Amino acid sequence: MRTVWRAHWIVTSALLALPLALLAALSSGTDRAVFAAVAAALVSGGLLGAALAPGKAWSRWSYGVGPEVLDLEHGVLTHRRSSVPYFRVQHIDLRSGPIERALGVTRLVVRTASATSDAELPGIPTDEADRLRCLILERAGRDDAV
Amino acid sequence: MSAPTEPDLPVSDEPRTPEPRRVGPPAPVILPVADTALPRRRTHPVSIVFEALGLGVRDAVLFALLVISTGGWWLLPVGLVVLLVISGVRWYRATWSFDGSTVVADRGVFQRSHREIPVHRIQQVDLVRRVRHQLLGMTTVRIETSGGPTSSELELAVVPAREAEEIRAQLLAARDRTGGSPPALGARAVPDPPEVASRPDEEVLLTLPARRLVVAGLTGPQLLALPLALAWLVNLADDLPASVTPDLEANDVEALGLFSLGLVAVGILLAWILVAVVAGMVTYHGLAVTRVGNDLRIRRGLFDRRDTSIPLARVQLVQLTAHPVHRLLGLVDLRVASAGQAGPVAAGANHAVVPVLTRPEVERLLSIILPPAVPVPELVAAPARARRRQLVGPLVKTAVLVTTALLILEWWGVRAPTPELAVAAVTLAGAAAYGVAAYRGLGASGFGPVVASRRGAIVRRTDLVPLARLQSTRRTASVFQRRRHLATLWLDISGMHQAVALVDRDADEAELLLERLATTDAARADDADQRPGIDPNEVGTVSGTVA
Repeated sequence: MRTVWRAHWIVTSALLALPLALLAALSSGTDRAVFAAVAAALVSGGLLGAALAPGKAWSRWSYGVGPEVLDLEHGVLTHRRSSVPYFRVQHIDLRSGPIERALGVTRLVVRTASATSDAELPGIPTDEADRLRCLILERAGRDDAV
Repeated sequence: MSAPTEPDLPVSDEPRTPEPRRVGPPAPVILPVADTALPRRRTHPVSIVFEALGLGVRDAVLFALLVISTGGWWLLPVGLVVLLVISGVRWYRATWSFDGSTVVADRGVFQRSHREIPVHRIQQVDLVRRVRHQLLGMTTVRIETSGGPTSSELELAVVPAREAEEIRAQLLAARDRTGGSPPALGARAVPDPPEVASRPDEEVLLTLPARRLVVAGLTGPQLLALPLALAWLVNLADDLPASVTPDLEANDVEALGLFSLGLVAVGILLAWILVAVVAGMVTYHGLAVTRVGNDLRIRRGLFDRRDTSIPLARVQLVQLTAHPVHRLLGLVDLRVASAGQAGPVAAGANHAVVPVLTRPEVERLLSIILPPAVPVPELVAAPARARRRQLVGPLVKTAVLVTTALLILEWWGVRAPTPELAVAAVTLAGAAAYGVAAYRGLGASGFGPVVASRRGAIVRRTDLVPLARLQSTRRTASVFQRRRHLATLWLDISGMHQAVALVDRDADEAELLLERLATTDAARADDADQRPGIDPNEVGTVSGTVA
């Protein structure tokens, strides 16, 4: 998952820097220097982020599949902890982007009837994700609640 | 969504059920398909005209442009006929039926949609009567279920008022029979003939005297009615050609004199108050909160009649709001929210609001709507160290804002009219006062069958969340909060775009609540009749964690 996040950092900063780099190429004089400097700062910031942030984020990530609740803890600057009782689970999505697929991991998104619930488990190995999904679904099926 | 439109295809009475997919251990169960042999019902034919009017607004402009530019006046009747035909076909294609357990609705001419709403999923049934509907004795029926955040699940616009009442009574009676839970899987729901459905008597819980409606108008959002109208008029006046607007010169104003200016000001003020009072009377005219069986019913409005029914077992959240004037008078607005309502709580448009209630009235309503919330849980102030955080936040934001504003002014070469420091000091003092008020507004109840949270510096809002409706719980702690050992607890409720927040609680307390709230028996007791009488001490299932 760290690789995925790393890639995200690099791609995002590159995408942000690209128009600025284009502007720098098209303009001249001091403008050019300013645009180029901002673009360079963005790229180096992105690289720095890619080097540091994913490791930190990953070390903060933990989840527990308890007997009654799914318990998640994550967040570097803002620590977040979220607990979702199984009997409130409405449906479960499995998602994976191209990089995630290449690495054989999946994001497991658990949804409740509330739009504000936060239960997304990143970087679960694909076969493990399927097992986890079945487990949660089975536990969710025990009660019926809206 | 990629299905090609096939207008020639005969309407299939068999609703397409999705191919069962084996995804996990629980075998997929196909719910009994609604009886489609029932006669298809339609809304009243007058709907065609309303639909045409609704369609027309945007297209009429384009059409008018076309007519004017070509000078082809003969296009006018042709356009009208086309409009009516389109509306007519759409009206004809929109059918619905109800067999006692499922509402089936079909609509669409080219792209057809088929929708089945199991009656036990119904959260709320609204009857809305706009002025143009009332003229013809018509009503719009809105059926809300959980999970449709943007619009009503089904809107029957328009049906005769009598029929609307009947539809609602049938739907709610059928819903009551299911007890709000799905029928046993595999068992075909007994399609009682809807005519037999009898509703219990209506019990009036609350009406407001006219005097209170005046207060509601004076202290409610109706106060904005005149400024908005004025803004609109001013906008209009701006667009008028210069020859029409009188030339007001500075010396004219002087000639008028202070006295007359004062008179004008008083006049405007009086008009403002009058408009607000009238607006309040119109909006809340005939406000009545009643109980029919297990449903709460709120009716109000003089021109646009609103009639909202919320099953008591579906109440997700009760909100008490009070701004400073309300607090002075000891009044609060009460909002009842079910999961079926569209839009954020703040928008309020689609929510059941009972304005300006006194404490005893609130308690009386709560004892019906949310019995465990009576007496209203005692609120505990946020820890004293939260005061610093509440203060620093607005102070820093204002400081940044003021500095940038002053810098921009400087850059433009504009000298601030008063010394910059004085301006900065006054704004910062304001921010500090706001911070103190914000801290004083914070309050939350401890653990119980209903969790209460209050917040707001100017407008104080108290959210009462029944644990039985809690979907999930979150705790967040930012860098600044962690330094002071504080955390914010979020309660996620169905159908809301915003979670209820218990801001700046002690971190340990928040952690404990997080672990206990969501999994308690109170949260599991998902039935209205199981809710009252839960002893908070008895609820103690604390979950362990297996990694």
